[in-house]
Amino acid sequence: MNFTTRRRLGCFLFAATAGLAWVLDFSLRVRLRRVELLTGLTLMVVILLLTLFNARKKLPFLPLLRASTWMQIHIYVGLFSCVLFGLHTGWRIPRGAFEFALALLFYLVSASGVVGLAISRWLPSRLTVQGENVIFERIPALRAAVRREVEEMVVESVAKSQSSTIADFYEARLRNYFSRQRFLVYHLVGYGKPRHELLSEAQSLDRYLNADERGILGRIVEKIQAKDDLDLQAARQGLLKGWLFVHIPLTYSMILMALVHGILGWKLS
Amino acid sequence: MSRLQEFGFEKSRYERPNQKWVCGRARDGQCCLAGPDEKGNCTATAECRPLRKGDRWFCSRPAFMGGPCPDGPLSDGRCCREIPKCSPVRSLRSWRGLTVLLAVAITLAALLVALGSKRGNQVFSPGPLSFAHRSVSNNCSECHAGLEKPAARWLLADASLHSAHDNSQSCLKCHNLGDAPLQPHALPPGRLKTLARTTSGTTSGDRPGGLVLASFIAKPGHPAGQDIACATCHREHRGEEANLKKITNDQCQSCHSKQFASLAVGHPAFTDYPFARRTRIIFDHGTHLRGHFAEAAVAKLAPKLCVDCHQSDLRGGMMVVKPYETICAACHDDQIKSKAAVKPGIAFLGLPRLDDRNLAGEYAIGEWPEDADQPLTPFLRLLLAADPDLRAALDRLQGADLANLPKTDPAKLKAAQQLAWGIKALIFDLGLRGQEELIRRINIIAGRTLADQEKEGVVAFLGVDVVRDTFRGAFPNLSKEVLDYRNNHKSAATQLVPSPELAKPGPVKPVSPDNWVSQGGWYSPEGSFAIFYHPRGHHDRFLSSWMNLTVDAGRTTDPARSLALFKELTVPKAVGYCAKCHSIDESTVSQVNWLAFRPDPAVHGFNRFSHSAHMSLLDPREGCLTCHSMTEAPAQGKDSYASAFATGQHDPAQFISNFRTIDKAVCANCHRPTMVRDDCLLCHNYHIGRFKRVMAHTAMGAALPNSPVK
Repeated sequence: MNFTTRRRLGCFLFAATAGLAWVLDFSLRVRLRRVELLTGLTLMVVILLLTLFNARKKLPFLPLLRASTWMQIHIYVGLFSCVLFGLHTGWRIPRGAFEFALALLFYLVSASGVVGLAISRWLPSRLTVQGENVIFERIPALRAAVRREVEEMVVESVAKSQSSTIADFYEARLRNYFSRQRFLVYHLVGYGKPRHELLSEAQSLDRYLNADERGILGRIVEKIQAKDDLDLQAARQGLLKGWLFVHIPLTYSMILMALVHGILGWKLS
Repeated sequence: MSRLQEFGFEKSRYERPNQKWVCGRARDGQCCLAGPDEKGNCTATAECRPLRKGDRWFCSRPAFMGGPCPDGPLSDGRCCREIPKCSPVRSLRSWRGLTVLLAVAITLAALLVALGSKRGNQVFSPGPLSFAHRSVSNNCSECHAGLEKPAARWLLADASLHSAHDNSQSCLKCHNLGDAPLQPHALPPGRLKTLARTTSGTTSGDRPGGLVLASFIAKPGHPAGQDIACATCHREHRGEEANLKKITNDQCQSCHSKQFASLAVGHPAFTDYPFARRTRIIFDHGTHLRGHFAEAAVAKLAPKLCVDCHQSDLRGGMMVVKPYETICAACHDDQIKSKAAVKPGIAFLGLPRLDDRNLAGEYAIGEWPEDADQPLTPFLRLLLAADPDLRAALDRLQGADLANLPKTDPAKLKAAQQLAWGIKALIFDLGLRGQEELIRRINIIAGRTLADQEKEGVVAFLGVDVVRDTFRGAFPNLSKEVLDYRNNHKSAATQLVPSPELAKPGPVKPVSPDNWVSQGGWYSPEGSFAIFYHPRGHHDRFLSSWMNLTVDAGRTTDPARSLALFKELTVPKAVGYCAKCHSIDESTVSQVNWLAFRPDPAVHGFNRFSHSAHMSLLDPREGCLTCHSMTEAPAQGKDSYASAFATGQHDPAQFISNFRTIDKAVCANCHRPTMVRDDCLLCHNYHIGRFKRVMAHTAMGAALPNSPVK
């Protein structure tokens, strides 16, 4: 099944299920039945089903469909849960403190899910455009390796030219740059101005350097670009992983509160 | 540009991001092979773990760490390149797990605090109550039975205690909705079924799509006869501004057997709106407009506009009739005060002519005026009937000519004797005890104790002088005669002490008695041996009280004679002409309609309409006739307005109106989806019945300081 077919099938199933839910909700409301209990219970089951995706990821050895299939189910069931939530609340923002907090959690979980889906669709292709694709966990080590290489080049330049031009430039502009992740926001939004400014500064040294130093500076410029590419990878891969720091913890908080809400709703209805 | 990372087991290490701990030197690219253990302790000792082949040790450092070292393992098999311990750090996955735990812990703590708090009810309240219920917003148990603080107990409470039906009982503490408050439309079981069966309107057009859809999917939530909880329709906790009465047309029709799309499309035509019964006051618009008001003598007094006779009620919803004095008195006052009547007054008590030849000896009746010739008035018959013996005597004398009694019929003679002595005793008792005697007898007749207002009405200021003066000439020795008779005939009802005042001569009245009462009251024509009552005008309490007393004759102890009196008071051209305009209803309770329709705020009918809201929309020329068009009904005959009020026709539901039923199209011209609201609740009430407002029952003593009465 190709991507287009999969998406069409997913959209169709989502629309059909959401439509069916709406028809059921409408019909039961017309019949003056307490439909909130039904939509609430269904929503709870759907949310638990969504959390199973996380559990499935921790049990990769079990033959329970492919992770990508789970992901598709997670996406469309997640969208369906938004429809169920709307039907459950009557498309209104709850006014009570507890219920508002619960609704807020649902909004945040849903929004973070949508944002996560969007960035997981948009960022990977962007990551292939600039720099080398590296494993996220290796980035700190690679960044340290680049720094060591640059420091060796600086020492080499001093030894060869007896001049501290490159060393001074490193001390003034590059030490801090190579020591840690820089320009996080610029990398997230894809704005390359700081990189170009730094490269421009480095290249402006060229007139003060002899031939050996120019060769060394050329290699340093390559490392500046490599470091910037690593920072970009780190920023964007970090975002790909970081949104789950919102999505997952808030999901569990929401489930806890939803349980209390469900018990109270059942007891008082 | 050279590649930053290499892949392959000899070129790069295998990353395990799912592990909780990561080597502390990983950030610098100096990660060892051993890595941290499960608890985050560094397990590193050396760069490799040498391998033994035969009797030699070989360095096993992988290629991506530089391959075998030049020095090789020590002779005892240990690696020669020991590495210092590091401080392992948590992996990203581990931090995420910790974040989840933190979030769960914070949520749990917040829930526990809220559930255990005294203000937990406010936290867990689904939302602010509506404005009308604001006063109970801090106490959940006022509406949710058994919900006490703290909120944690709610989780453990028995769910069966808090059903919507139980909670409805809390609503009914303040909202009086009759005897069947939770039944559909608050109507008693069975009543709705009868109404649905008798509804004559038929729907047209297609059923609304929503209802068709709903009918396929679910049955009505509340089968016929089952109670409906208040919360089914009234959804609380939606804020102060929330409309608790909001309900859709589809929901309204969900239980109805006849379903339609809107007022304009499908709603049954009005068959009996707005007139579901005849008018309480008999007023034929047709004969008045076409006949009486056109007469020259009346033309000047006749109203010119509808609003000369009609006005809106205080709420502006209904049009009511103005007071009698404003709209009727100019023409009808003389009739009521009997100035233009055939008879000036109505006979109350009078002495009939008795057969004095045969009523002698064994049947002696004592003194009886020879010239007495009054008929036995219905009032007298009824007052005598308070005595069971006399009631039997009156029955025996039914149809007999009292002036010519058959000598051969001793039973009739005996009855006539009892009647004569009964009349004497009544006059004696009235003279002696006055109005109290009258009331005593009426209480016996009514089978109950009259209220003060009723007593005042039936007695109508009847003075002792009128009684004594009227009958003094007829019975000069009444006191002695009655006492002697009672001594010989023990009658439990009339054991009274004679009044010496009766023996005294009364003052001579120089003024004609009927002139005395030109404005109403009691009089006795000269030598008539009878007491008459002259109505005082409209709102005459005497006539209205006697009519009220006898209208439901079946409830009195003597229905036949009560009915006879009632007929006497209501025949055409009876004194006072009460029944000329005031119709009489006989349904579950018989009553004289003394008042025109007045909207009762406690009564909630199926329909509602606001006249004041529509006044500015009327066609200037048509005015009220825009909606209320008159019929061409004849002035007389079976199809006339008057036919509904013919003698003996007391069913208010049988009538012919002066006005046509309102055409639904008149309403639907404006009330349609694209123009003005046309939802069910705009014109219809759900709760039907007479619901009095719930009042506080505060003991008066509670107002006193330190009172034990609270």
